[in-house]
Amino acid sequence: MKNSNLSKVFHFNLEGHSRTNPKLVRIQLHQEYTKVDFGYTTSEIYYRGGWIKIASGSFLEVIATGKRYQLQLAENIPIAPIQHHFESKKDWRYYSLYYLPIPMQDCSINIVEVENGTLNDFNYYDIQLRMENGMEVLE
Amino acid sequence: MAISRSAYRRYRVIDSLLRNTMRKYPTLLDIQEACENKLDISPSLDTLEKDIRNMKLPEPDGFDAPIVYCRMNKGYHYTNPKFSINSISLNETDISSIKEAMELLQNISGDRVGDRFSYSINKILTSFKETFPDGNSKRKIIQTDYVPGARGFENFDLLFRACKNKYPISFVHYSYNKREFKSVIVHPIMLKEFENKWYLVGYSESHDGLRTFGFDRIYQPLFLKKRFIASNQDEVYTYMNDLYGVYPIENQPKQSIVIKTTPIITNYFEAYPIHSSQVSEKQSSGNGIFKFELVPTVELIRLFRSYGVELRVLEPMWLDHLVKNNKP
Repeated sequence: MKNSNLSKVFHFNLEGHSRTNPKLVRIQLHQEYTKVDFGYTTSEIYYRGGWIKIASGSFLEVIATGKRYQLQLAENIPIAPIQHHFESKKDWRYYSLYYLPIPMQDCSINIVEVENGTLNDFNYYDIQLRMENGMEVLE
Repeated sequence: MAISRSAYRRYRVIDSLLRNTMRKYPTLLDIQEACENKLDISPSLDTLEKDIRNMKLPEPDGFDAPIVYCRMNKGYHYTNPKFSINSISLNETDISSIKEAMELLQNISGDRVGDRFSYSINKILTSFKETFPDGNSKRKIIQTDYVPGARGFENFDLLFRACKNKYPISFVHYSYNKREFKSVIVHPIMLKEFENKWYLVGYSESHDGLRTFGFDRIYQPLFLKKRFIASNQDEVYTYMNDLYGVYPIENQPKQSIVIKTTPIITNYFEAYPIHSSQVSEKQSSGNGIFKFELVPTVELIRLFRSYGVELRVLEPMWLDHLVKNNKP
């Protein structure tokens, strides 16, 4: 019988494609969603730490099949055009993005905010998910 | 008159039938049938009649049960539908003690305890108000050093359960010093409060040792289905007993720490010992010499610094330098 609550969590400490991107810290695979957790720390580059938002068209892509899984929910980060403005160059923010569930099997994925985007867009490429590295979550 | 175990089992069957709102007014035959089903015995109708009489007796011989026979419905019922022999009966002293304890709990807990516990307390408080209308639970008599709204406190219940049931947990930690997020796996041991801040102490896989994590820096903890790694008991004992505060100075063992205080500060240390190992000696000038057996911590240094020139570390010298240098 299929366990609908089966969930696996993977730990990462991945930088994005630019140094001002958030750090990707966890991916949780669930039968009903794929959740990706990020940690963002503001830098000296922007006035008062700048702002963040996530594009509504963000998606997660399984590289082998090319299948895309759309963003369903953003937690603790606004969907564009709304922006979260930081107050200082020393702020931080933890946020999570929920996508449609990807199959629970070994794969490599891209997490894309904007296709062929600029370095300011939050894009992550070729993230390896090996099921043996995932830890089962007790619900 | 003591109630026999077999009689008490029958009373519980009778009680459950009388409280069954789906099938009201049970007869003696109904009760007999229920006893057969639940207890595997078939008491006589005389015995059951006697049981009902006994249940109606005042305490301590009976339960003061308000059972009456309804001629119209041809069965028994409780005149007070809320009655149950399982309800706890309280005398005046019990009630008074509970009132005091409830007021104390409400005064010192506030939002401090987790949601589930607050819910339970609220349930009790609700009935407390109903049962003891003269209770004045709104009036605060004890004020604790607690301000609601602390970040991370929403995870209290989950972290408590993780410690209690030995569930390894995954969470994302943010370091204030390094300004860095990191996903970590921790095998939790205990929750600790110090100076109104809450901490999780546990074995951290990435640090390969015991570590302390402030609640405010813990994000989205998850229980993991993973073998729990028990920590070294000596190390755990040290964490529980030999620290003032929560963050030990790295690579520093438990050691003798001696301080000298001015007469004014001596009063405070004498009145409020900071650790169970504290031993004091008063000089004729009124100055105090205090000795502790402790693992030096960040919080101990902060405490010593807070007294400025009124306190001096005599031993060890490195700690004296650290306190004077005013660097973390």
